[in-house]
Formats: sequence, structure tokens, C-alpha cells
Amino acid sequence: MTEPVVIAMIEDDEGHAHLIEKNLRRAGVNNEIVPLRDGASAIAFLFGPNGTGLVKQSRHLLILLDLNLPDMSGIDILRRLKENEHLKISPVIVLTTTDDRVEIQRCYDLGCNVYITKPVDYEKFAHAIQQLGLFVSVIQVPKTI
Amino acid sequence: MSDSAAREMIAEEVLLKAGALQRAILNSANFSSIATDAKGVIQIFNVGAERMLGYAAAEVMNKITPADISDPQEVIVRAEALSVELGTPITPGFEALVFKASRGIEDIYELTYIRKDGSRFPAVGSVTALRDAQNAIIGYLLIGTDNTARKEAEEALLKAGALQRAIFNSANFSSIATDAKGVIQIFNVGAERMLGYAATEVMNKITPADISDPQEVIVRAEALSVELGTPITPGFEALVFKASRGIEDIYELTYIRKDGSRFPAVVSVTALRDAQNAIIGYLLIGTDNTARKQVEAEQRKLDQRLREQTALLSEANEEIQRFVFIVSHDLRSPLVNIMGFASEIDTSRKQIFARLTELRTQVGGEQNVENDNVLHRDVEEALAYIKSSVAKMDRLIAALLKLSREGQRQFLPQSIDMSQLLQSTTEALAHQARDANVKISIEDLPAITSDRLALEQVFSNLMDNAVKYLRSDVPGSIDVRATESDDSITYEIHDNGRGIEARDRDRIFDLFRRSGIQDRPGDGIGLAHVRTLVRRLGGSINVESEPNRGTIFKVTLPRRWHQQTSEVVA
Repeated sequence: MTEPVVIAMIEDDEGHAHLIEKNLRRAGVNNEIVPLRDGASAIAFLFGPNGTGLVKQSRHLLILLDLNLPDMSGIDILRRLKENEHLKISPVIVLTTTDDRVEIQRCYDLGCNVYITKPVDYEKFAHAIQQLGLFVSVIQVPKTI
Repeated sequence: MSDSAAREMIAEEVLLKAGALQRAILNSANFSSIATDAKGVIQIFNVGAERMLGYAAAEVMNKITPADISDPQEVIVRAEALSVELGTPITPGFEALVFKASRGIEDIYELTYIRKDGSRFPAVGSVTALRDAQNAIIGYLLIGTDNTARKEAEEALLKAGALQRAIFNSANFSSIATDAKGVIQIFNVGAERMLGYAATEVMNKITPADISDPQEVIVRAEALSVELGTPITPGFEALVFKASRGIEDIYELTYIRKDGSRFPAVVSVTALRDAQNAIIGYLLIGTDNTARKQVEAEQRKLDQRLREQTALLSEANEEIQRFVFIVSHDLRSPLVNIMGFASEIDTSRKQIFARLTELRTQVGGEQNVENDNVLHRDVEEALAYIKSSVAKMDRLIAALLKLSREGQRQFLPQSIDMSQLLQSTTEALAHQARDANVKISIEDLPAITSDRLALEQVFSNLMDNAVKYLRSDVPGSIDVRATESDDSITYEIHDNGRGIEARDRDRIFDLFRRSGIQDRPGDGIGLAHVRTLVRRLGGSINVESEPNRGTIFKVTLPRRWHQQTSEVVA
């Protein structure tokens, strides 16, 4: 990647965040990963203090999003991201334990780019994240508007 | 002043002296008041007389006597009867009408009056002699009321069959006949019993509207005004308007008893008509509806309770579904960590022990090798237990999730060829069936209207179990057959497998519970799932079994699945 892509990892479970980062690094992802532990800090980071999203203008941003957050639903964050004129172009990868068909459908309806279920089986989990890491290292991420 | 003018004046004076009641009668259109001179020539012919008899006052005054407008035959009969009664010959004419009054005897009698147009009507006449200051008779006053309604009602009832007569005479029906204006003319024994009035208290006094709930009469008048597009007065008219238009009318109404208490009645109204088809009154037959009302109220209360219970139940059910769903996901999250970090430790373990071996080689030491190996195996074993437990926990959660989803899935009823469904279920098990050396036979099964996916899951679970728990010492045999009743079908799966102990026959349907020797893979989910589905399909599942002989699972399902046949029990 020629441009420095920042990965915003919205994940409330510290263990999960740790395992995800570990496996991304194993896959050779060296980008900056910003861990965000709840909905409020994710909104603050992405939308800035004035809530417009202008704070992230002209940045290469990739968002990893968990749906089960303590303070708000990841679905709401997804909706706000895809409704925001600056942020809607940034790829969102939903990474969650929920494998409910309705939930998956809803995420794609709202404009999520990839939906990945976290498997309990760690081999599969590690494999999935490392594949994601490979994917992340090759995809082109556009500049936010 | 002429003689007749003087008489008229005196008659009026007398009348003026009389009280308000008499004045009211004289002015009333409902009473014919006819005053004559001593010879019977009509001197006064009031508005009621004009209305009833069809003559204008001017046409009869100073011209004829009341005998001229009475049925001549009746006048003759009356004259004969009076002659006998009083022992003196009485002329069949005006004398016959007033003789008793002229002798100071109170006289009220029935008589047929003849109208100007020749039509007749029964009247009840009351005759009074008018006297001057010297007590000499100067004339007569005949007050008549139209007795048509009562007469016709009585006749109509007489003409009516035995049933109507029975109703009319029955204490269980209130029969109230009125004249055309609604004034009660007949009030039968049933009406007396139900309403607490004696007939004499209401006859010629009030209308049925006076013993009905006024508010209901108003509402009824308004509703009828709208329905029939014509303004209807909230009073007796509202009670009989439809009947007066020849519309059959049976309605519910609250009657008010003499003591003020109320009761719901069902009232049927009929218009009474004369030979010319003119309405002369109404017959209102009422039954006390209290018992039925009470039953209805009770029924409504029960229905309401049932609806509330159903709502509560389905609310509780939804809550459980949401609970299971949320818990399943939240339980999974820590499992990812336990599994993840156990695996990470496992990776570290390999590195640590490899490093240990490397270091030992470097220092050339051979002591405690066995201890290190034990330690290595212990850690490996501990991690293996953690991982297999987590894997099991994950399967259980997956099962919970599956059950919760099945509980929420909308069923899609369709006609299903059950023989075919069981056939394809069997084909999916062909491999296991061959291994177990089992013969599966499926009889002709009746079709059903239900949810295909649910039935596939039910029967593939049951068939899978049948194949899975056969005995190894005898060739397996599985039969599927069915019995039918009017609205349900029972599908039976018979096997000659290992059977289920009596104490386990309920437990096997519980989640995560299994029966017998645990020598087959499984988590105790299948039958719990089956029971949930069968219940949601509005059916039931039973098991009959004999250990070491075989088991019969019986699934009874409604022939046609409807939304409301389930959900509550789900």
C-alpha cells in the first residue's frame, strides 16, 4: 500500500482485539491500528468533536466493526458511517460473533463491504483474520472525501 | 236566544263546571264527546268525534241523534235487553242508548259506531244525563273511545294459532298491545309478572316507551333516523317505527319495572291492522333476556381472560426467544477468548518446551528429563480439555440458537406428500442404514398441509435416531405408518432397537438430556428440537418403548396447519 491506511478497530472485547491484532500482524499487516473500545469513542474518533466526519477528510481509512457493543449497536455506527458524506466511501468490515442471517442481510443493506463471523474454533478464527490481513494488505482504500 | 242555543249554553256551562279532566276529555282528539238535547239531537260534536266518525260538527249538529251513527242491529239488541232488564219497553233508538243514564244509572257500554264513509269501529261509550238547576234532564253527554286497538288485538290474538295464544297467555312472555298511538290496551299476565305492574295500572295510561330505558330509546331513535333516512321521535315511535313500515323488527331493549329495577328484554313488534290494512295498534311480545345476557357477559369475560392469557403467554414466549438469542451471542464472545488464548498458550507451550530442550542440550544436563516430559504432557492435556470443553460449549450454544431461531421462524403451510418426504429422509440416511444392516419400510402415508421444512427436521431427526440406536445383535427393522382421524393424522415410526427405559421417556425430550449407554455421538438436542417443532405445528409427540425390543414414536399433527393452532404452546 502506497498510502498509509489507518485501521479503526471498533471492538469492545479486549481479548478479541488482542487476538485480531495479533493475527493481522502475523499476516504481515503493518498499518496503524487504532483500538476503539466502545461506540462513544468510535464516534468521537471517526466523526470528530463537531460530529461532521470532516476530521477524517482525505484519509485512507478502513473500519473493522463489531456489532455487539456495550453502549450502542454496531448497526447504528454502520448506518451513521454510510450516511456521512465524508466517511461513506471508507470500507467497513463487520467482524462479529453474530451469524444471524437477518443481521447479516441488514448490514449489507446498510452498505457494509464485508461481513465476517468470528468462529469459536481458534484455528478457523486465526485463519479468517489472517486471510483478512492478506486481503487488507492488497486492497486499495480510497481517500475519504 | 233559541231553545237549542239555550240548551247548548247550559250543556257547556255544566261542562265548564266540571273539572279539568272533563275539559281535557272534551277537547281531546282521542275521545269523541257528543252532547245532545233531551230528545237526542246532537248539540255538541267535538274534535275527537269529528276525527273518529268522519263527520264535520256542522253536518250532524241539530240534525241527527247518536243512534243514527250507531249500528242499528246493536241498538235493537240493546233495546230488547234493556226492556227485559228493567221490565219496561224501551224503543230501539236513542232511548236505548241513554235510558239507563236518564234513570240515574251509571252506564258504560260497548257499541259499534258507523263512520260517515260507512266503515265501522268498536267504541266504548260512557253516558251521562245533563240536568238543569231543577234537576230536569236537558240533554245527554256521550263520551266514546275508539276501542279498535283492543278489539283488534284481541281478535288478532284469537285468530292467531294455538302457539300465539299460548304465548299471549304465558307468564313467560310479556304481551303488550297498544293502540295506534302506543297507549297500552292489553297487558298480559307475563307482562304483569315481568314488569311488576298490574294491567289496570298501565292500560289506557302509558305507552311501552314509558317502561323502557329512555337513553336506549333515544339511541334507537337516532340509529333508526340514520338507517331509514327520516327523523324518528325518541319515544313510542322509535319502538314501532319499523313494524309500522312492515319491516320485521326484533330488538334488544332494557325494560324498567315498577320498582325501578331493570332487565334486558328481546322484543318482537308486530303492527295490528284492520280489514283496510290501516294500523290500529301494535303488539309487543317480550322475553326476559337476563339469563342469556349473563351467559354472554360470562362468555365475554372468559374470552377476554383467554385473550389476556394468550397475549401474556406469547409475550413471555417472545421474551424467552430474545433472551436465548442474546445470551447465545454473549456467551460466545468469551468462548472466542478462551479458545483463542488457550491456543496461543499451546503455541507458547511448544516454544517453551522446545527452548527447554535446546537449553538442556547446551548445558549437557540429563537430569529431570522425565519430570519435564510429565510437565509437558500435563500442560498439553490441560489445554486439550479446555479446548474440547469450549468446543462442546460452542455446540450447545449453537443448539440453543437453533432452537430459538426455530421458535421464531414463520411457518409456510403447504400440501405435503408424506410418503415422499419420508422416502427422501430415508435416502439421506442410506449410508448409515447400510452400515447398520437395517430394513426400512414406509407404508402409504396420508398427505398433510403443514410446514415442509419443520416436518423434514422432525422426521429426519426421528429416523436418524431410529437408525442410530438399533441393537447390534439383530437385523434392524424400521416401519413408518399412519392412522387418521377427522382432523388429525398420527405418523408412527416403529423400530426394533435398544428401546428406552420408562424413567427416561420424558427426559429424552429435554434439552441436552440423553438416555441409555452413551456410546453414540450426540448432544441431546434432536428430540428437544423435534418436540418444539411439533408443538409449534399444533401437534403432539408420544413415545412407547420396551427396552431391548424397540420404540414407537407417534407424531400427531393437525391435517391443516393454521397460524392460530400453534404459537401459544410454542
